[in-house]
Amino acid sequence: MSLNLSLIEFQNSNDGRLYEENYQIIETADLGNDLREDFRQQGLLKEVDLYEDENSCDFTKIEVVDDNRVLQLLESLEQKFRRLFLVGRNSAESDIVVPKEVDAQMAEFRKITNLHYLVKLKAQQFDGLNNCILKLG
Amino acid sequence: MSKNKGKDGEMRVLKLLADVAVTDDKGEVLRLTGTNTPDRGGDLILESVGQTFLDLATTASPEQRAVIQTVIKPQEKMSARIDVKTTNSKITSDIVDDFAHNVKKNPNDKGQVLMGGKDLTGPAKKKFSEYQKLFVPSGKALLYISNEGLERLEGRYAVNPNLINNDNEK
Repeated sequence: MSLNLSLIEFQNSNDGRLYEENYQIIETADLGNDLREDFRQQGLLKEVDLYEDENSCDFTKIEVVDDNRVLQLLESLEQKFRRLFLVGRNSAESDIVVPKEVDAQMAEFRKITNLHYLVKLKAQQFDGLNNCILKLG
Repeated sequence: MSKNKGKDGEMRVLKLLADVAVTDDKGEVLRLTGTNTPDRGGDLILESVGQTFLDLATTASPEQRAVIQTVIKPQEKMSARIDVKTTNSKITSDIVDDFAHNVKKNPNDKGQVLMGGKDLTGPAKKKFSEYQKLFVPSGKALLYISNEGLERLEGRYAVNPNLINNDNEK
């Protein structure tokens, strides 16, 4: 299943609600279900309501990164990044080039670094902005 | 059920597509590797003929058949990318945007299917319909199938395994 983490800026509203009709996707990265479960267990995610438009009462529950846990998420990604380099370091297999494994390792590397870039962007450029969220979907 | 709901959802669709392939006797199902495809929005590929794709649309979501018919010919060989979203919530506009963005990353697939969710939200429905029309000139057929549509397909294509076993014994 494809599952992304997206940094999305929703239109600023006076009532503090998020409205789906006006938004901009700033950046998107592949997340995957395993990482979602991991982040859920760490308590980094929460649900918020996304309203269809200002004249409608219809809303959908969406899963987002808790604004207060963004730095913790960043640390978690950095730990996972470090672990990528620890695996196989002491193994003789690390000297053998297996194209398929290299491909998988590079994909994992890219996944973690893309997510890290995205979350860091939120932490550095959009910190405290409640209308700019890290949304799963 | 495993602990990985996303994988379970994908497996459910894989089973359905396998039943479709058995039923229409023309299809093949490919499960893409996990290393390079999720960020292209592709989980599964159904290789079949246009008629199969049209039948899927008719069963799952008849109101979308008209626009799909403008680009799909019943006899042509074609493949369809299936992007599975395992959720009971509605699919929002940003997900539709991402799905449409990935159409260009999968140029060989004439069929482009977004599957899962209770439904599309109102704005997402509008957006999906716009994308459907937008991609007609480039020969791409976009189809959304909700969880309800998925259930209808499972009912329509359920294969009795005993029939397959009996055939093998002949």
